[in-house]
Amino acid sequence: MHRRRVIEAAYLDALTHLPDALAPSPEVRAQAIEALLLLDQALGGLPARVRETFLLSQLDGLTYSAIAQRLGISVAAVRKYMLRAAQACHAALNPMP
Amino acid sequence: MTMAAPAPVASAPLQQALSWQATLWSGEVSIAERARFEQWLAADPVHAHAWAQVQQTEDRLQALTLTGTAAASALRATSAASRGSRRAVLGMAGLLGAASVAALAVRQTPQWQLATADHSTARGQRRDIALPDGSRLTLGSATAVNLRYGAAERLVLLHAGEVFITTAADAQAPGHAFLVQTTEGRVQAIGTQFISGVYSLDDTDHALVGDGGAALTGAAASFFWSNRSTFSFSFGKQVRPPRMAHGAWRSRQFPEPSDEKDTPMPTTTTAAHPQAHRPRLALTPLHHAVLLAGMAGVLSPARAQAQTQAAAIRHDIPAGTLDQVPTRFATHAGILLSIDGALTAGKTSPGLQGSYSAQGGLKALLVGSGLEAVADSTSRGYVLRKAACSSTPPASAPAEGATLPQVTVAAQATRTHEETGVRCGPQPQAKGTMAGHSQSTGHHNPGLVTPVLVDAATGTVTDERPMPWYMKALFLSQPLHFGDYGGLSLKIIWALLTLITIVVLGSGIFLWLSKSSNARTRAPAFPTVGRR
Repeated sequence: MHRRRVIEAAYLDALTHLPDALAPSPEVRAQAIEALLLLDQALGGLPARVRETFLLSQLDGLTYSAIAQRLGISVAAVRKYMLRAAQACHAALNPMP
Repeated sequence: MTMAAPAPVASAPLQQALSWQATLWSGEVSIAERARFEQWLAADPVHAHAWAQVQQTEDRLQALTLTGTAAASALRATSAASRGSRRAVLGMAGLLGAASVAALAVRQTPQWQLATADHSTARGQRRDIALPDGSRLTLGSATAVNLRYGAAERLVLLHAGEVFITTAADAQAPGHAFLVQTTEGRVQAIGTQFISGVYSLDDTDHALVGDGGAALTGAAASFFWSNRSTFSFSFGKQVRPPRMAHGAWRSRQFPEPSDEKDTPMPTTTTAAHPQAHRPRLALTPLHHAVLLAGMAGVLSPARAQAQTQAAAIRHDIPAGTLDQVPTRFATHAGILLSIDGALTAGKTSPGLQGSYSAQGGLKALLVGSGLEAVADSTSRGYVLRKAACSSTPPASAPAEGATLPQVTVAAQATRTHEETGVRCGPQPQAKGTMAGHSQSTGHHNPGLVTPVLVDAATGTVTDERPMPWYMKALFLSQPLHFGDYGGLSLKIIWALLTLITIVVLGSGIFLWLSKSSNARTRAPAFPTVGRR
């Protein structure tokens, strides 16, 4: 319950920085928060480096080589981490496999 | 923290699809890779189905990333918060551990025990406490006691100071012993009144017997004290409570045996046995001084004292030495009387018959002795001293009863704790050991003593128990552990060094923990070059 509130607060806080035209509808917001919560749970169980890799790739849109450079790891490692994160996300967002 | 969801191992095609997704997410897929992906997708309709599933997840993720920075910062914020909370939990655990260790240590200190005692008095204060069984407890100045009263025992834990106890016979369980536990030993009340004290000021600990007496635990009736050590004086095999006046414990003498009639034994006496010889102990000046120093806070219920001093009581005390007669009188009259054995030595008293008040009786007793009894305001009792005009020479009369030769017990400190001489007055040397007086040797290991049992009648050592090696090791390590051999400044240094050690240990653990968690989050010192 505590986590949900933290995520909601962080999400809504981030939304306030967006221009009004881009602001999502309440329905989208609710779905987004729901998905975020699932995703957060899935990522929470992953090692910190895997989580960071996933966020850099999916949210910041960095390429694997850019991530590898930034984190000081090999591209192969990035791909390995991304596979692990993809498996976790798939399990979290698709309860029916 | 949420536990990791197990990676879905639904099927091989799904795993392959996820693997391809991870590849395609790279943002820099080569043409060859793209071609191989197309091949895989076309190879089997199952592959296409699995890929469709993966794409669903992808779509939901895409929906999230549409909100862009909002989602990103939300996820980042929460993951940072979770890391922060983990650190906080670790820190809290460390603090709690240190605090509990400190609390345990503090609870062992005498100061803590004093502060948390059931009943205590401040310096210069006196308090009366009625115990559940009707016994009365008078706490002297700076005294702290805990009471353990139950069906099984009547125990008073004396942490500091001194108590005057008037025991009541336990109605429910006759013979239900009344015990006083001090840091040095356990005292059992045989009679109805006794005084027990812990004198930390001069490191003496002694049980003082009052009306009816008290016995220390052990086979033989004994009376122990001294500077940081234990002396046991054997009165023979039979335990017989010395019958003492209230004031007798202030004097240096044990009373001579007397007939049973004039002062009936108190109710709870169990070990009474007529004993042919009663020793007469005279202590060395050192002990005398120690005893008198301990006397400063003599206890007596003031009200009762005032009554007994004024009332005239019929006395019938036979003639005897000047040690016994006033002592017996004090017992009978119920007053405190302090007798200096040096003054009364060799003198006799004609005894006392008739009704006298306390003051008048004492005066009559002391006729011809050259001594007088003066009221002592601090103890609310009387003190014998040389009369201002002592012209009458002491009358000489045969002493009543069998007076044993005077036995003087002195001891020397030794660093080896092996064997020292116990000088026994005019008697030849006897063997015995004791811990040194702290002022004479500066040795600070009170535990390293060898208890010896000295037969007071003959001055010989009847028993000696060597200390087991493990106890020796324990006591030897004690000053090293507590650093209590060099005064307060050393103790403070010791405590600071201990704290530093704890800090080093704790910070080391913290660094190790944070290093192992950083290894997963941060870049290594030498980043490996990405291979493509």
